[in-house]
Amino acid sequence: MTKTIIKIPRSLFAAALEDLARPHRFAYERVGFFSTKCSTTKNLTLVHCIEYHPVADVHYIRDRSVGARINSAAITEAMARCTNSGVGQIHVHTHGESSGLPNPSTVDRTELPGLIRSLRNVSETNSCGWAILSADNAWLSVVLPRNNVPIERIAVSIIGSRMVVSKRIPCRPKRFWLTQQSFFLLAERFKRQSFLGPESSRIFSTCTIGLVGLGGSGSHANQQLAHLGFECVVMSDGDRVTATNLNRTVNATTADVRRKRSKTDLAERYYRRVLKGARIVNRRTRWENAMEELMACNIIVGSLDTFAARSDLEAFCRRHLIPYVDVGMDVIQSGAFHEIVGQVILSMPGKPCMRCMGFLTDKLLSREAQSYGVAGGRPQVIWSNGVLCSAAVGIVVDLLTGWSGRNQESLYLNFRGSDLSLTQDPRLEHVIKNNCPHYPLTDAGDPAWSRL
Amino acid sequence: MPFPPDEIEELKLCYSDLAAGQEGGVEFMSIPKLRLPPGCIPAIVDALFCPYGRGDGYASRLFLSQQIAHNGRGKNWNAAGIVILGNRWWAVSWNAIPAAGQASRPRLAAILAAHLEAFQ
Repeated sequence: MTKTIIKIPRSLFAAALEDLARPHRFAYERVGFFSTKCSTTKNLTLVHCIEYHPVADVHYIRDRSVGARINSAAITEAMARCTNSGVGQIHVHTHGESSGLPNPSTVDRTELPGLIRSLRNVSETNSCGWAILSADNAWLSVVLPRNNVPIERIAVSIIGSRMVVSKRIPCRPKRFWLTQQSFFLLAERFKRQSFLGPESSRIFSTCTIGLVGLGGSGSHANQQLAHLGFECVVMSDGDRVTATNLNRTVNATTADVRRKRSKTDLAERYYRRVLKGARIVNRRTRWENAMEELMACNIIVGSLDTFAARSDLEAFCRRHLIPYVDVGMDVIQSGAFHEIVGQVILSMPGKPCMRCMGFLTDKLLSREAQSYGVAGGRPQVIWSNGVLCSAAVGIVVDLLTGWSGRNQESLYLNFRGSDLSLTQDPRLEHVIKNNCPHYPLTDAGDPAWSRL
Repeated sequence: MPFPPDEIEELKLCYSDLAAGQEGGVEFMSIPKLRLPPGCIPAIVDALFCPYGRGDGYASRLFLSQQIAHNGRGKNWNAAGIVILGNRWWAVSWNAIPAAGQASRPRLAAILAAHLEAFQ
């Protein structure tokens, strides 16, 4: 059976709620539409909400039997968006709940499926449906591409800070915990991190984190996610552990080098020791070969070797509306001494990307392309990898739990090894309020080709 | 930068199924069933043409849907299985046109032909 996840960027979610809360001259409530595009694979369909469209005041009809009724012009506009822009439409309204999963009313169930059938007739290759929003969740009924049966039990993910990942996400925690771990252990295990919120254990057992690169940096992130209790991880790395990895890859041993174990196998071994019931997808290959598994992730943490690879992974994450946390470090000559430099970047779909932040530049990528084959192995040390990955895991936890209350959707932290400082890059404040021109939300989903 | 219509028409004389796509603010052109120079195995592959560069140090690039065997000079496959527009692509390091200092930009057909020289 195909898994389905609906993704709504928080900026659109907030815009919709703000619009729907506005009073109308005579209608009791307002409605709007999300435009949607899909990412589809054999076993997974992601439905991305990419734009919000309010319904103009003049398109409401007086009807005391329902909260809001819109005229044919509003529906024609929605249909036109389907045909002209190749998108689907999701009809949205709210019942005013402040939190939790809203429920559809009898009127909703009677009236809205007919509207969706009409929209569906002009948008067979995209997803159409209807949704009810609460302040922090959404109930949806959608018809998927090339399918005529509406589905309702769908995982919803609100992308932003704080992220919301609904309970019905496919990667469920196993019942293993309840059967094989003692109740005492279950209750005590996460006691010291209870400040992360009453929902944190549920969130950690529900979310899927992608780890791309499990060498010096990724092995730290892997270790910390296991201890925090993240039960679903996708690991991807095509390398096997060598003697040069032993100075920084946590948990790697000389026996692993002798046996030429893959880095993901080491990561899985550690993870299972800490969190026995974890659900791990172990892909001993480059991330490009694990795209389907990574598409299902809620957040991806990347520790890649090159700037070009970072750029490609960020493009992938943007296409599928996945927040991307990038970690990297380098050692440079600084006068007679050395300096360790590094970065932790949070690249949120719709918000400034690594190019907007000035981290990835044509000059940098060009220089890297020119030095191809002569750069050799880059210097790496364990303590700086540890600092950077601890920050990355901290960003992941804050995104999901919102424990700090800062709700930061973009981050660019610079690490300097000589004074062990981690400071915000000054360039970020100049771009943080801008939407990303390189990866607009409208480019999400399967690539749209226009015939020439 | 949108592709000039007259240059597209010129390319369509050889490749009828051209399509345009965009990723990361970069324009790409899909060329299905691109016939490669004699000696290439396979002789026909799908291609992704990036005539105006993607900020990676090359003024333009030609990506193929697979790595091919050939007798040309383009042997450095420095893009191997990278993901662009949802698919995987391979490309050789080949500066078909100079990255800077070009007074007038060559036509699309000329850029494509220059890339194919890597496999001749």
